[in-house]
Amino acid sequence: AALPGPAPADWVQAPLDPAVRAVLVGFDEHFSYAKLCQALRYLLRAGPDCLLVGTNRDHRLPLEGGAGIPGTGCLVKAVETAAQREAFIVGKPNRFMFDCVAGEFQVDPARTIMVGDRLDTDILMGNDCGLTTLLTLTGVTALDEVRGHQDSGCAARHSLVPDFYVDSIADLLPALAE
Amino acid sequence: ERAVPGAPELLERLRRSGKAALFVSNNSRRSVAELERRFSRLGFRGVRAEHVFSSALCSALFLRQRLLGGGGNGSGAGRVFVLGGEGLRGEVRDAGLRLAGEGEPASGEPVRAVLVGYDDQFTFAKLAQACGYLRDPQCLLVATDPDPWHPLSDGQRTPGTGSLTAAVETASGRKALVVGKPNTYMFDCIVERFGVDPSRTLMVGDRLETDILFGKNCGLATILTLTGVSRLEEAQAYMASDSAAAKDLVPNYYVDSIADLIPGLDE
Repeated sequence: AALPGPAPADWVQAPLDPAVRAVLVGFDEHFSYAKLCQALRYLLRAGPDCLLVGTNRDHRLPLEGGAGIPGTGCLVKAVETAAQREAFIVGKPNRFMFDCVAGEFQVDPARTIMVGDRLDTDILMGNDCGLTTLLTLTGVTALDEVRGHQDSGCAARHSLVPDFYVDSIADLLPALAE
Repeated sequence: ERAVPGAPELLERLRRSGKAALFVSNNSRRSVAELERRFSRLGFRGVRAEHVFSSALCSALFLRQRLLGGGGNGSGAGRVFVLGGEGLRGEVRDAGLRLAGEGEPASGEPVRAVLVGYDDQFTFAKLAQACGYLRDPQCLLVATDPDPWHPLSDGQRTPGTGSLTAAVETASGRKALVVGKPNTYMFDCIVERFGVDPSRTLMVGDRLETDILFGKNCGLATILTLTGVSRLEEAQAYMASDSAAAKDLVPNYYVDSIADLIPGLDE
């Protein structure tokens, strides 16, 4: 809907939809202060009766050449800061999505391998859900990073260490050819 | 929009008693010239721009110091990418700095600072542009103030600079240098211009997490006025807390309204 005026003082006069009971923050390349303002209004109107949900906390979406664009996590943080409350995060490393998959497909964690390229989402979720974890090095993570976590004295960082790693997921093919 | 009843009279009494009144605000929307006009419209007499220290002004002074002040490698001060409105941009220009434009290609004079202020035109595109500049570790990330939200006159809230800064910090992996209260840089600006003695200065404010903590950090006695953001119960909760940090948010005194100080000046 068009904004009812040029300034926030005008925007906050627009009526709120009485049926709204959740604010969901996902990747939004059209994120704006006006939307942030509106999200805050819904969250303040209903307090705990309006859910605040974020799809994920990724900081950046990497592009070629080391560049990147801001990730959903930035937008979630903006809303959380304005509203002074924490969002429920659906995406990895939280286990919600694994629970969805496991429920739908009768997945047995003891007989499941989680493959991913990112330690703080893929591997952490896999480890937290009791899966065997396999890191592929074709993505954002370099082996040095893993060694750093492994050598640290910190239990939280050990959760980021995969059980196995491969240079590429294609390296699994020979094992399946037998 | 009205002044708190009795506030203009209090300031007049202070003036007549020979007590200086200075204003320190986390507001990064307006230039101090605009704030001077606003004070005048609200019925305050004798409040000049030089008495008003806003986070917009002080951020510009901070950047001037860092980018133009002494030393440097001789390749020019560089430009500043400002996330904020015309009031903030004006203060940065008045400090002698050049601004990077929105949507500009990353060529030309390097951007040496990203300044996050109150920006009601904030967009994902500007966030991405800021992050591009911040890939250079030499590029500063500065925020005018940490406020998560500001009250509107009808009791609603509008997101503050703090929420935008959180987005930029998350995207860039950097921590911002925050100019505004409760950090003490704005007090340094005040001392430099007016030579204030902390032991003979009272900080009055309505927000515990910014004004009162600022007072404490600068060695000032503090008064909380209850006509604004913070409730007495919040101050009491900090007082009852076991955490040492919470104690710093407890004001020395509180008043229902700043006008309650007037009788004290009559003696």
